[in-house]
Amino acid sequence: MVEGSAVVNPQRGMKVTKRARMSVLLALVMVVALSLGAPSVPAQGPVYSVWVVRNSVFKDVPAGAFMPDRAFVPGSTSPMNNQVFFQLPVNVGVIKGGKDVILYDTGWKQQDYLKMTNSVNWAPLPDLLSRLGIQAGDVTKIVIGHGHWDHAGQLSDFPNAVLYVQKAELEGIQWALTYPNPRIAAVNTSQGGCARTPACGYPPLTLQEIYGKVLGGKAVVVDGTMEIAPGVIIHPAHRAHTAGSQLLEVPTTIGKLVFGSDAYSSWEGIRDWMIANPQQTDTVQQFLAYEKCYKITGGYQNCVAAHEPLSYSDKYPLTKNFWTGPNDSRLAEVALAPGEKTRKP
Amino acid sequence: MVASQDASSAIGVGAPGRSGSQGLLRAKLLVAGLIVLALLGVFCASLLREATTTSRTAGATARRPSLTPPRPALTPAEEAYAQALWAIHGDVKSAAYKLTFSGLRYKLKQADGPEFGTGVRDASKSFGQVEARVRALAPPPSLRQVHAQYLDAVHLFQRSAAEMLKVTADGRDDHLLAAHPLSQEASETLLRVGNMIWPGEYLPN
Repeated sequence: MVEGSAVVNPQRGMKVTKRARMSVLLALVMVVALSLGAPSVPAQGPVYSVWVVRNSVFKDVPAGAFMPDRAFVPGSTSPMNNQVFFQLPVNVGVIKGGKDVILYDTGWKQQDYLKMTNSVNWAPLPDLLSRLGIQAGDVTKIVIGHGHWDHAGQLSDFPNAVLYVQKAELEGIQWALTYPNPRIAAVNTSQGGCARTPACGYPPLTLQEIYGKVLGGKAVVVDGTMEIAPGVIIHPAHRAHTAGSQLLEVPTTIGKLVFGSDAYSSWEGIRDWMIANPQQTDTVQQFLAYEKCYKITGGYQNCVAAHEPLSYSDKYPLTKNFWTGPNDSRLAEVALAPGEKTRKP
Repeated sequence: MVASQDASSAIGVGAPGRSGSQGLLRAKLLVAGLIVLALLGVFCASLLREATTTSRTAGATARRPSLTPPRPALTPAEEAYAQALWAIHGDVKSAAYKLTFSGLRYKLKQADGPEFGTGVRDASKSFGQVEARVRALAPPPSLRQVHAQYLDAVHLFQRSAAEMLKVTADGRDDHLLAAHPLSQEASETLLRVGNMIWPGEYLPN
């Protein structure tokens, strides 16, 4: 057709050719744009049921402390910088399939922290699980995305569960604690506080909980990648939040999910490529962890974030199918395996 | 596809026998059509994005949400005690970490018996030193219970270390199992004390 036009009127035909090319280009742009939010391809092989539950909320975390690119700017009308605080949920993944009930992270247990951290809506994880028809003794495996207190805090409540922790995480803590420069090794960094030094996020109690699992023969120290159940794969994301951060790939009926703990603190951060919750974080490694989710799931929709402020709303679609639990906690049904009944009341 | 059809119709614009003005008109229509298509595409993409992403402004607020009632501020005497204990607290935690990792490394076969024993003895010695420093503090009456709790925690760590050291004598790992609850309770107590006098010791991580 284009050739024909060139024959009839070469000059005009050339313009038409360019227009035709432009239209094809436009169509391609449209296809790419439309595919950006498309759900990923359903997984092959075994699929798992998945819920996400909110263990508590950290209130009034300064926006810039959570996401530096979104620091509050007085007078700004930009949605990027007009928020003073974020309300951060502490999300825990519940994965059920075959003979396994797997937790990804265990939130935090120490109720005495409630005043300390200005937290609200804390609910014991066993209580939340019971709303899903799961007893604490049913949990077979626990994968901690990292060992910080608010992600590895209730291990002893699950006596039958085998803990999966990265070797690099344990080594990283020991490295930090024994580093010769006391400013880097510090566990008390300021008057009454401890935040950014490498060993800060690991109170003695949390390490005792991890040690307890090792003592009881219920721990697997993972060195890199490991498939812990058919299709359920641990991926290392070292330094994406802490020395031994790890992701968890889970096949479901809505495609593969990737849980990221604090390597994926913010789902918006993954979507918009902004770092979040920088603690012992190498921001390049955090971006590479984001990329891992894009590669595994085909986009950002199925990346499961630990502290996404939009959780349990339509704005974070993965968690939009939610209901309220004890102490105004939240439970979201993310995906059901064939034959699995909904737990949503 | 639609754009291609438009293009093919435009081929006729320049066909013999047609007037130039008609051709120009059709070319303009083609351009207008393409623009409309592009706008439609952008509109569809933005609709989809809107449906899947946040409107940050909805959650945006420049006002601080209501807080739980703040705890009463520490009195000057309480503050002085809190600061003095804080200076010791770092050493207590360091000794606790040493104890934990001694056991952990031993169980994971990353450390042998002698290395394990050295680590536990070091920790035990540190706990003895910090106990003396804690005892030397004079808490205000309102914090005497906190002070006693803290000392209890140090004692529990010491007992735990003593139990762990028995492994070096008889090689039985069940001493580690017996020691663990003591360290666990001591660690919980440290948090309870911290909650009273060092709010914000551990921030969201």
